[in-house]
Amino acid sequence: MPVDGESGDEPSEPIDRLVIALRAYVRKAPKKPKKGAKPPRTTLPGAINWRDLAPRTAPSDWVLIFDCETRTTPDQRLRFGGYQVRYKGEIWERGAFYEPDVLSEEEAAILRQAIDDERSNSDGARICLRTRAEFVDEVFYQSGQSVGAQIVGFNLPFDLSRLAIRHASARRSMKGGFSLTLSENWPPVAVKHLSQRAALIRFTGDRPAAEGESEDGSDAETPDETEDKIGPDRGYFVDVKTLAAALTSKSHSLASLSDLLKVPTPKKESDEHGGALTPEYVRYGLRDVQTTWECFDHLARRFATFGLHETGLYELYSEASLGKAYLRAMGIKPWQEVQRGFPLHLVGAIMSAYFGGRAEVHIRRQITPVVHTDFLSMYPTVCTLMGLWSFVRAKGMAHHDHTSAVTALVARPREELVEHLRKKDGWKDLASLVQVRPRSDLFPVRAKYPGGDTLNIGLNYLSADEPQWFTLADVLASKVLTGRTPEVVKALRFRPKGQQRGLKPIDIAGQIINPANDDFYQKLIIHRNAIKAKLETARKTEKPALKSDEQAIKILANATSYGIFVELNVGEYVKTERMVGYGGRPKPSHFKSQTSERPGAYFHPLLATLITGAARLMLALAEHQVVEQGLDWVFCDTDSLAIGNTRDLPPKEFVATALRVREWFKDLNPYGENNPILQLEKVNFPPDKRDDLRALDPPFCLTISAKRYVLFNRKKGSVVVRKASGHGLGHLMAPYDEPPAARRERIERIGVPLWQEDLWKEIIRAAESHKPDETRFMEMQSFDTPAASQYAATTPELLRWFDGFNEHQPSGHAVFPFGFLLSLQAKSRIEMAKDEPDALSHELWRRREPRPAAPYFKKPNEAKEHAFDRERGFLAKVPCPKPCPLPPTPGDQIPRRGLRSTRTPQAPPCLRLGTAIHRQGSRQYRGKRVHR
Amino acid sequence: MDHHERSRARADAEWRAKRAGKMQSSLWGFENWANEGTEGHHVARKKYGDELIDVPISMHRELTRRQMEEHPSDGPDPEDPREREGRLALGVADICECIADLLRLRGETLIRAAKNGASELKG
Repeated sequence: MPVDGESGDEPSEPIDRLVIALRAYVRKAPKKPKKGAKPPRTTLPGAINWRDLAPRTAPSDWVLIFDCETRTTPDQRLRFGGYQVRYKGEIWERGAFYEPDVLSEEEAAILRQAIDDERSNSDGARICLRTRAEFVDEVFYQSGQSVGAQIVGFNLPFDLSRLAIRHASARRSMKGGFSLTLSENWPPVAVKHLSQRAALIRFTGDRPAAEGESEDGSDAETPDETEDKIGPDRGYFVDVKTLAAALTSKSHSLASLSDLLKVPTPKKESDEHGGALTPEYVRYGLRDVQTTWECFDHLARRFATFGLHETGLYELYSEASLGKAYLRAMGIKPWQEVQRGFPLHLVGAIMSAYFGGRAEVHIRRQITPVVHTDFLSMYPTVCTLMGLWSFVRAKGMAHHDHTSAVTALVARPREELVEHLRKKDGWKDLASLVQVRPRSDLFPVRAKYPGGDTLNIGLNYLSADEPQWFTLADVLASKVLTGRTPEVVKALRFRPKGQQRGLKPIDIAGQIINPANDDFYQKLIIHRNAIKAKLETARKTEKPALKSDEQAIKILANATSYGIFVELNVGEYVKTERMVGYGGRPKPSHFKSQTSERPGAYFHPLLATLITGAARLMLALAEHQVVEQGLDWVFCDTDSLAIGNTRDLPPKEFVATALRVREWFKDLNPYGENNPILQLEKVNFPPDKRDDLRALDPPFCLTISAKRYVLFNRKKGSVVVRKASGHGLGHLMAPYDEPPAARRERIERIGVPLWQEDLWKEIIRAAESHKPDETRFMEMQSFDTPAASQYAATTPELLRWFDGFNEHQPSGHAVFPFGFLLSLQAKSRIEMAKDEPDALSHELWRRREPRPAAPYFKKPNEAKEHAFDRERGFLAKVPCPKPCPLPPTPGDQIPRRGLRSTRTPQAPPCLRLGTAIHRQGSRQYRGKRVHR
Repeated sequence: MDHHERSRARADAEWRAKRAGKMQSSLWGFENWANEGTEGHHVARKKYGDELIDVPISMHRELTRRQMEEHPSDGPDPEDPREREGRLALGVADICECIADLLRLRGETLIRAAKNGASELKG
């Protein structure tokens, strides 16, 4: 292993020795074969026979929509709820249900009166008032189990858990979720949290474990739950929140969704949560059900236009589900199914070369005028340039040694190479993996950097004794950026094998795409651009439909061009299992783990690895052009780059120079257009002069770390924020109110809500002052409120945080699964010793600081008054929750990140592959070493 | 059993048939009548009377389901003439409903054919 001074030409450079981590393909080790049995498979399992899955029965024409209103104590127990049962869209029965133990006699009387009033005002509709138990037995299960209804709600896990009488940890394939018992007469409902937007929900059944299946049912070779076809007994649960996120690619509240869809009964806000029950509040609850139905109906109609008749709404968990449904509709079979004999050690090599998109800050804490650019549909574009659709529709892939050709390519002079990559043809041969011996070459590195606890990725000057696999694009990017030629040990080229049979054309927003003849990604983007062009001249009445089509294509292009190829679903075995990990080395590693990683249906690691590698090369070329033009860049993020005026050029000259960078990418447009694929973001133009080059007005940019930046203009001496990042602040509650509609408009316009805009303005003020490290957040109005994060007990593990608290609660007052709470931060013991020494004698401060939580309040200041220690269960007020808005201040210890994956699946089990040298460059620091 | 309870019982039966893979236009299985033969059906149930008629097998299945699921539960004395007449009335009502449904289907099919100008009607 080289050390400082031994490794080459720049002995004085500081060197970090880091253990680097590479991704691996991990699966459960095959059991030892019995005597005479066939040897274990050493190829990709391919054991998922997607056609053998249980046949699906579509739901009936019945729909149950319900919504719960709860009290605001930590248990958030059900007070009352509203529901509608619809048959073919028409109301068959509607009404309310309530929890008799929670509502007082007076409140129950108010509810009865409100329902009587509803009856008298209706035209003979069947309107019922039931207890929770009656609703569950006679409506919920009768609908969901007996007549095959779709069960619809907004944030369904929360509402389902409000109906539950007890809960337990779910087992088998739903392990990690909750089993909710709603009635003694019917099977429980299992709910497994997947993300903030989605959960798996199903009725449980007495299914005996299949032969060879462990108790948890999570054998690595079984399909992931989201792939499993749902049988009729499992129920058809549709969370409108999940459905909306999948179809609009955004997270929504019921209010924002109803606004977006312009439904006849939009959501109304209420301030009566937790207060005395009033007829108005009952009407509010019933109205929410109607709003939920209208949103569901609107989205269901939109989905029906997609022509994906084989896919149910209850099967959509994300945009990726939509992408997979389209691939299925085209008859595309997953690579795992068509090529079962692919060597696992090669899958490991491919996975070891996988890194996410590149995000990096280059000029930090220095206000710089920029031209903000981004690449046109980056992932679909590189897919088209590299011809990756041929791999998707192929019967498999072949590989062969390509070492000499790659060595010759990499050895070409840098400028020749750059010119080679300026043409579309230069990208056609990039489907290669290259094993290199890094010697101060610029490569992505995944490691625990000094001062950090987690694995991070940075683009670093890397030296290592052991060869490593990278994509050819990464190797070329290193050559483009450094001018040095990496030492190629071996190269493999991949080619698609043949073409699958039975491919079917599909109609996407009026455009027929034939997967057998067309490049799907290319056609999709061409069609999207055509719709965008139409939108500019369309009449007002035509615009909503065109916008909807344009948005749907954008989501589809993104959903099918990357994420699904590297979908790995993390789970947990009941006990520790023997695992085998295939990485970049010829021999696999053996270890034990309780964590499982199951590939999604369309897992195709080569494509994911090539796509992100090519995107990094595209950014490297942009960076190179910027430097060639004598400019510098401020930050980049996956598909965008901010070109900075670091030479104080006059604005016109700066713009003209930046436009020359953009022009360089003209020949790479694969969509038959004469436009460069490097585009100008709207933030470069005045709001009313989009795309008018004469009006281009470079905004100022201030960055404090990767993904944390603000772009702004100055108008009459004041700062006008044009675009800002809220990265790392999303979990914090706003310290002050902003009307929901205004908040949505602001986020749409500049990317952040008001309080974060104010935060950035203060950071800008400080940066422009003579004391840039001194921000005055505490002097800002309302910024002395406690830092509070909304928190939901979405897994049994998270719910266990409240074990101590729950022990002290009488029956019916314990924190329940999926309950919303607030997580606060207590002062440290040292701060307390200074501020309130007497309080330290309280039992609350024994041995450690309190861990405060509070019932959910919209205003953190109110929550402060109700805080309790979530583990010890003291209901006594926790003294002095910390007023700490956790802003990314220039003076704070900001987590400094280099290249970061933006779409990496959760918790990758990585193999440690020895140590490597990570060193800083001579000219400028890169990646994690960026401080100016 | 009121109108809503009957609807729910029928939705339940339809769902059971769908789950079992019996995709039919209705619980009466009209499309099978021509090919499946007939069975004897006790209009009031066997224990409440001897009135027997021949009906298509699918129709028999649905009439029996209604007797078991939708008619009131058994009374104290099956020989009570009021009980027997009541059961007969319900049995006849079910048969009338079947005829009404058949006529409705026929009517809708004829009108649709007229609208489409298609010669989709057979028999």
